[in-house]
Amino acid sequence: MAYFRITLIRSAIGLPEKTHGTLRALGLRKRMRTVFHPVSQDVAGQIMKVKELVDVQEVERALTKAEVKALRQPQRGFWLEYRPAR
Amino acid sequence: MLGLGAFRPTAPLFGGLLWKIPWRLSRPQKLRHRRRLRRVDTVVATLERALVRNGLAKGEAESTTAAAAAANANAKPKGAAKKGKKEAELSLVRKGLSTHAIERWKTEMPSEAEMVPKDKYTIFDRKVRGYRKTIRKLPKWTRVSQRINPPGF
Repeated sequence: MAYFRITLIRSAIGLPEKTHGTLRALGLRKRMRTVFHPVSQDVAGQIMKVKELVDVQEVERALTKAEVKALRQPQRGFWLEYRPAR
Repeated sequence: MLGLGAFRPTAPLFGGLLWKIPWRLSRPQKLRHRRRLRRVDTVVATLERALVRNGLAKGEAESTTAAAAAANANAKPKGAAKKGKKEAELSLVRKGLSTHAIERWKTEMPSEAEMVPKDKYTIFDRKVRGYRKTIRKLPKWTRVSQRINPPGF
């Protein structure tokens, strides 16, 4: 099942109340929040209402919040090396 | 501390006709504006492609033939072609094979590449000499889609 991966890039501050409502309905409350919704016309219509504010991709699988966070984590910058067991 | 703060007596506040908003966009501002336009274009294209891929919308070629077929089916002796097309689109919408907002965007809005610079950086205003003013006079101009002119302009 395909999903829309929607990220809020620009805030809706100062835009009409309806725009805020659409973002809330999509689950986008802060900038850079990423949500996943199944590909459907309803969701497409919602995205069209806020198309200037979001970034959209089509993905095969919805990631969990933890997985999205893991993707955002930077590399640790060091690697632990262990002595090989004899 | 006279004259400091938000209400200091500056020229724009004193004078009647001193514009603080420069008429022209600078070159980087125009670049960023074009990128914003293109970003919206890609969002709409992504939506459409996803719907087509998941069988929730007709592809470009199919949609025209389907629309034509529907128009023929609905054709009345005096029915205008435009009306037939609209009915065809409505029937597609009812069948769940079209999304009205996307169809409307596709028919009405030019893409960034199709727009002429005049439409990208200026906006129609009936009160301005020459009928054009800079796009940055449009409230929230970086977050609204304003691409077309009124008929005749």
